[in-house]
Amino acid sequence: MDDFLWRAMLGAGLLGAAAGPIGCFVLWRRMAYLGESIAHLGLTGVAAGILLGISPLLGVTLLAILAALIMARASEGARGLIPSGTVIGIVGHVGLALGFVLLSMMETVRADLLGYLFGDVLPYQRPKSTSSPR
Amino acid sequence: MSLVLLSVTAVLWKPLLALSINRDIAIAEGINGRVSDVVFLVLVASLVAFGLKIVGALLIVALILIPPAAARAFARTPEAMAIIAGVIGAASAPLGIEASWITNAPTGPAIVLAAAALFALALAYIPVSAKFTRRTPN
Repeated sequence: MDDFLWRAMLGAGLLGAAAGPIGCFVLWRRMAYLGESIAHLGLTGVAAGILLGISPLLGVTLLAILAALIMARASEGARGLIPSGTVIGIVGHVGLALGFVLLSMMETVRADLLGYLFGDVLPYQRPKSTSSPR
Repeated sequence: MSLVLLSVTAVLWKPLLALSINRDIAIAEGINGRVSDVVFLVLVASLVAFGLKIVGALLIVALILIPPAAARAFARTPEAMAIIAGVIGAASAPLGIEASWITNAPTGPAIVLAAAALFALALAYIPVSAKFTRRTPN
Protein backbone atom coordinates (compact mmCIF):
# COMPACT_ATOMS: atom_id res chain seq x y z
CA MET A 1 0.00 0.00 0.00
CA ASP A 2 1.28 3.45 -0.86
CA ASP A 3 2.74 5.84 1.64
CA PHE A 4 0.24 8.63 0.94
CA LEU A 5 -2.63 6.29 1.75
CA TRP A 6 -1.25 5.78 5.26
CA ARG A 7 -0.86 9.52 5.70
CA ALA A 8 -4.44 10.06 4.53
CA MET A 9 -5.68 7.44 6.97
CA LEU A 10 -3.73 9.03 9.81
CA GLY A 11 -4.98 12.54 9.00
CA ALA A 12 -8.60 11.50 8.56
CA GLY A 13 -8.40 9.17 11.56
CA LEU A 14 -7.18 11.96 13.81
CA LEU A 15 -9.94 14.20 12.46
CA GLY A 16 -12.49 11.50 13.32
CA ALA A 17 -10.98 11.09 16.78
CA ALA A 18 -11.34 14.82 17.43
CA ALA A 19 -14.81 15.01 15.85
CA GLY A 20 -16.18 12.28 18.15
CA PRO A 21 -15.89 14.01 21.53
CA ILE A 22 -16.73 17.46 20.13
CA GLY A 23 -19.71 15.92 18.37
CA CYS A 24 -20.92 14.56 21.72
CA PHE A 25 -21.41 18.12 22.92
CA VAL A 26 -23.14 19.04 19.67
CA LEU A 27 -25.54 16.16 20.33
CA TRP A 28 -26.06 16.91 24.01
CA ARG A 29 -26.77 20.55 23.29
CA ARG A 30 -29.00 19.64 20.30
CA MET A 31 -26.99 21.88 18.01
CA ALA A 32 -26.77 19.62 14.96
CA TYR A 33 -28.09 22.31 12.68
CA LEU A 34 -25.56 24.86 13.90
CA GLY A 35 -22.68 22.62 12.82
CA GLU A 36 -24.36 22.17 9.45
CA SER A 37 -24.63 25.93 8.97
CA ILE A 38 -21.02 26.57 9.98
CA ALA A 39 -19.93 23.93 7.49
CA HIS A 40 -21.97 25.51 4.70
CA LEU A 41 -20.45 28.88 5.49
CA GLY A 42 -17.08 27.21 5.10
CA LEU A 43 -17.49 27.46 1.33
CA THR A 44 -17.66 31.26 1.58
CA GLY A 45 -14.54 31.00 3.73
CA VAL A 46 -12.74 29.12 0.97
CA ALA A 47 -13.74 31.76 -1.57
CA ALA A 48 -12.79 34.63 0.74
CA GLY A 49 -9.46 32.97 1.50
CA ILE A 50 -8.64 32.71 -2.20
CA LEU A 51 -9.88 36.26 -2.87
CA LEU A 52 -7.76 37.76 -0.11
CA GLY A 53 -4.76 35.75 -1.17
CA ILE A 54 -4.46 33.89 2.11
CA SER A 55 -4.73 30.12 2.32
CA PRO A 56 -8.28 28.74 1.92
CA LEU A 57 -7.89 26.84 5.18
CA LEU A 58 -7.14 30.04 7.10
CA GLY A 59 -10.09 31.75 5.39
CA VAL A 60 -12.40 28.94 6.41
CA THR A 61 -11.19 28.97 10.00
CA LEU A 62 -11.62 32.73 10.36
CA LEU A 63 -15.02 32.82 8.64
CA ALA A 64 -16.31 29.77 10.52
CA ILE A 65 -15.38 31.39 13.83
CA LEU A 66 -16.94 34.67 12.71
CA ALA A 67 -20.08 32.84 11.58
CA ALA A 68 -20.33 31.00 14.89
CA LEU A 69 -20.17 34.31 16.76
CA ILE A 70 -22.68 35.95 14.38
CA MET A 71 -25.13 33.09 14.79
CA ALA A 72 -24.80 33.13 18.57
CA ARG A 73 -25.76 36.83 18.42
CA ALA A 74 -28.35 36.51 15.65
CA SER A 75 -30.53 34.08 17.56
CA GLU A 76 -30.57 36.50 20.49
CA GLY A 77 -31.05 39.52 18.24
CA ALA A 78 -34.28 38.26 16.67
CA ARG A 79 -35.85 38.39 20.16
CA GLY A 80 -37.85 35.24 19.72
CA LEU A 81 -39.69 36.69 16.73
CA ILE A 82 -37.85 34.36 14.36
CA PRO A 83 -36.89 30.93 15.74
CA SER A 84 -33.13 30.58 16.20
CA GLY A 85 -33.15 27.46 14.03
CA THR A 86 -34.49 29.54 11.17
CA VAL A 87 -31.85 32.24 11.66
CA ILE A 88 -29.11 29.61 11.73
CA GLY A 89 -30.52 27.93 8.62
CA ILE A 90 -30.69 31.21 6.73
CA VAL A 91 -27.13 32.22 7.64
CA GLY A 92 -25.75 28.82 6.66
CA HIS A 93 -27.40 28.60 3.27
CA VAL A 94 -26.66 32.22 2.44
CA GLY A 95 -23.04 31.29 3.13
CA LEU A 96 -23.26 28.31 0.80
CA ALA A 97 -24.83 30.38 -1.98
CA LEU A 98 -22.41 33.26 -1.50
CA GLY A 99 -19.47 30.87 -1.59
CA PHE A 100 -20.63 29.41 -4.91
CA VAL A 101 -21.18 32.86 -6.43
CA LEU A 102 -17.79 34.16 -5.27
CA LEU A 103 -15.97 31.07 -6.53
CA SER A 104 -17.68 31.25 -9.93
CA MET A 105 -16.85 34.97 -10.25
CA MET A 106 -13.12 34.32 -9.96
CA GLU A 107 -12.25 33.51 -13.54
CA THR A 108 -8.52 33.28 -12.97
CA VAL A 109 -8.83 30.75 -10.20
CA ARG A 110 -10.05 27.29 -10.97
CA ALA A 111 -11.00 26.02 -7.56
CA ASP A 112 -11.80 22.38 -7.14
CA LEU A 113 -15.43 22.99 -6.14
CA LEU A 114 -16.37 19.34 -5.85
CA GLY A 115 -13.30 18.80 -3.70
CA TYR A 116 -14.45 21.46 -1.25
CA LEU A 117 -17.99 20.09 -1.14
CA PHE A 118 -17.18 16.42 -0.79
CA GLY A 119 -13.56 16.40 0.35
CA ASP A 120 -10.44 15.21 -1.32
CA VAL A 121 -8.19 13.55 1.19
CA LEU A 122 -5.70 11.83 -1.09
CA PRO A 123 -4.21 14.77 -3.08
CA TYR A 124 -4.30 16.86 0.10
CA GLN A 125 -2.03 14.48 1.95
CA ARG A 126 0.16 13.65 -1.01
CA PRO A 127 3.30 15.73 -1.60
CA LYS A 128 2.72 18.35 -4.29
CA SER A 129 5.47 17.14 -6.62
CA THR A 130 3.82 13.77 -7.20
CA SER A 131 0.23 14.98 -7.65
CA SER A 132 -1.12 14.17 -11.06
CA PRO A 133 -1.99 17.04 -13.42
CA ARG A 134 -5.66 17.69 -13.89
CA MET B 1 -4.39 20.33 14.39
CA SER B 2 -6.75 17.52 15.33
CA LEU B 3 -4.62 16.79 18.38
CA VAL B 4 -4.86 20.45 19.45
CA LEU B 5 -8.67 20.32 19.16
CA LEU B 6 -8.73 17.06 21.08
CA SER B 7 -6.63 18.42 23.94
CA VAL B 8 -8.66 21.65 24.16
CA THR B 9 -11.79 19.51 24.44
CA ALA B 10 -10.17 17.43 27.19
CA VAL B 11 -9.11 20.53 29.15
CA LEU B 12 -12.56 22.12 28.85
CA TRP B 13 -14.39 18.85 29.47
CA LYS B 14 -15.71 19.68 32.93
CA PRO B 15 -17.23 23.15 32.29
CA LEU B 16 -18.63 22.13 28.89
CA LEU B 17 -20.23 19.02 30.35
CA ALA B 18 -21.69 20.95 33.29
CA LEU B 19 -23.16 23.53 30.90
CA SER B 20 -24.68 20.84 28.70
CA ILE B 21 -26.33 19.09 31.65
CA ASN B 22 -27.79 22.09 33.44
CA ARG B 23 -26.88 25.57 32.38
CA ASP B 24 -28.23 27.40 35.43
CA ILE B 25 -26.50 25.20 38.00
CA ALA B 26 -23.22 25.34 36.05
CA ILE B 27 -23.30 29.14 35.98
CA ALA B 28 -24.22 29.23 39.68
CA GLU B 29 -21.16 27.10 40.36
CA GLY B 30 -18.99 29.82 38.83
CA ILE B 31 -18.55 28.59 35.26
CA ASN B 32 -18.51 31.43 32.76
CA GLY B 33 -21.24 30.31 30.39
CA ARG B 34 -20.67 32.94 27.73
CA VAL B 35 -16.92 32.35 27.45
CA SER B 36 -17.40 28.59 27.38
CA ASP B 37 -20.04 28.92 24.66
CA VAL B 38 -17.74 31.01 22.50
CA VAL B 39 -14.81 28.62 23.01
CA PHE B 40 -17.06 25.71 22.12
CA LEU B 41 -18.26 27.42 18.93
CA VAL B 42 -14.65 28.16 18.00
CA LEU B 43 -13.85 24.47 18.58
CA VAL B 44 -16.65 23.39 16.24
CA ALA B 45 -15.63 26.03 13.69
CA SER B 46 -11.99 24.93 13.62
CA LEU B 47 -13.04 21.30 13.37
CA VAL B 48 -15.23 22.18 10.38
CA ALA B 49 -12.44 24.19 8.77
CA PHE B 50 -9.99 21.34 9.15
CA GLY B 51 -12.48 18.70 8.06
CA LEU B 52 -13.54 20.68 5.00
CA LYS B 53 -10.48 19.53 3.08
CA ILE B 54 -10.83 15.90 4.10
CA VAL B 55 -14.55 15.06 3.91
CA GLY B 56 -15.92 18.30 2.46
CA ALA B 57 -18.30 21.07 3.51
CA LEU B 58 -21.46 19.02 3.02
CA LEU B 59 -20.26 15.92 4.82
CA ILE B 60 -18.14 17.11 7.76
CA VAL B 61 -21.30 17.43 9.83
CA ALA B 62 -21.93 13.73 9.32
CA LEU B 63 -18.56 13.00 10.89
CA ILE B 64 -19.49 15.22 13.84
CA LEU B 65 -22.94 13.64 14.36
CA ILE B 66 -22.70 9.96 13.45
CA PRO B 67 -19.91 8.77 15.82
CA PRO B 68 -21.54 10.20 18.99
CA ALA B 69 -24.94 8.87 17.90
CA ALA B 70 -23.41 5.43 17.42
CA ALA B 71 -21.50 5.68 20.70
CA ARG B 72 -24.75 6.34 22.54
CA ALA B 73 -25.67 2.69 22.09
CA PHE B 74 -22.65 1.48 24.03
CA ALA B 75 -21.96 4.24 26.54
CA ARG B 76 -23.23 4.54 30.10
CA THR B 77 -21.34 7.67 31.12
CA PRO B 78 -20.62 10.90 29.21
CA GLU B 79 -16.89 10.18 29.38
CA ALA B 80 -17.36 6.74 27.87
CA MET B 81 -19.57 8.19 25.15
CA ALA B 82 -16.92 10.76 24.17
CA ILE B 83 -14.14 8.16 24.09
CA ILE B 84 -16.20 5.60 22.15
CA ALA B 85 -17.29 8.35 19.73
CA GLY B 86 -13.64 9.25 19.20
CA VAL B 87 -12.76 5.62 18.52
CA ILE B 88 -15.67 5.20 16.08
CA GLY B 89 -14.73 8.42 14.32
CA ALA B 90 -11.11 7.36 14.09
CA ALA B 91 -12.04 3.88 12.87
CA SER B 92 -14.36 5.06 10.12
CA ALA B 93 -11.50 6.96 8.41
CA PRO B 94 -9.25 3.97 7.56
CA LEU B 95 -12.35 1.85 6.81
CA GLY B 96 -13.69 4.46 4.40
CA ILE B 97 -10.33 5.14 2.76
CA GLU B 98 -9.71 1.41 2.33
CA ALA B 99 -13.17 1.01 0.78
CA SER B 100 -12.65 3.96 -1.54
CA TRP B 101 -9.26 2.54 -2.53
CA ILE B 102 -10.83 -0.78 -3.47
CA THR B 103 -13.98 0.52 -5.18
CA ASN B 104 -12.43 3.73 -6.57
CA ALA B 105 -15.19 5.73 -4.85
CA PRO B 106 -14.65 9.33 -3.66
CA THR B 107 -12.88 9.28 -0.31
CA GLY B 108 -14.92 11.74 1.78
CA PRO B 109 -18.30 10.13 1.10
CA ALA B 110 -16.75 6.69 1.62
CA ILE B 111 -15.58 7.73 5.10
CA VAL B 112 -19.08 8.97 5.94
CA LEU B 113 -20.61 5.72 4.66
CA ALA B 114 -18.16 3.76 6.82
CA ALA B 115 -19.26 5.80 9.84
CA ALA B 116 -22.89 5.15 8.89
CA ALA B 117 -22.20 1.41 8.69
CA LEU B 118 -20.74 1.52 12.22
CA PHE B 119 -23.85 3.46 13.29
CA ALA B 120 -26.06 0.74 11.79
CA LEU B 121 -24.12 -1.87 13.79
CA ALA B 122 -24.64 0.21 16.92
CA LEU B 123 -28.38 0.42 16.21
CA ALA B 124 -28.50 -3.34 15.80
CA TYR B 125 -26.71 -3.71 19.13
CA ILE B 126 -29.31 -1.72 21.12
CA PRO B 127 -31.97 -4.47 21.26
CA VAL B 128 -29.27 -7.05 22.03
CA SER B 129 -27.90 -5.08 24.94
CA ALA B 130 -31.38 -4.31 26.21
CA LYS B 131 -32.07 -8.04 26.42
CA PHE B 132 -29.09 -8.49 28.72
CA THR B 133 -29.43 -5.47 30.95
CA ARG B 134 -33.15 -4.89 31.39
CA ARG B 135 -35.00 -7.57 33.23
CA THR B 136 -38.76 -7.37 33.07
CA PRO B 137 -40.47 -8.32 36.34
CA ASN B 138 -42.38 -11.59 36.17
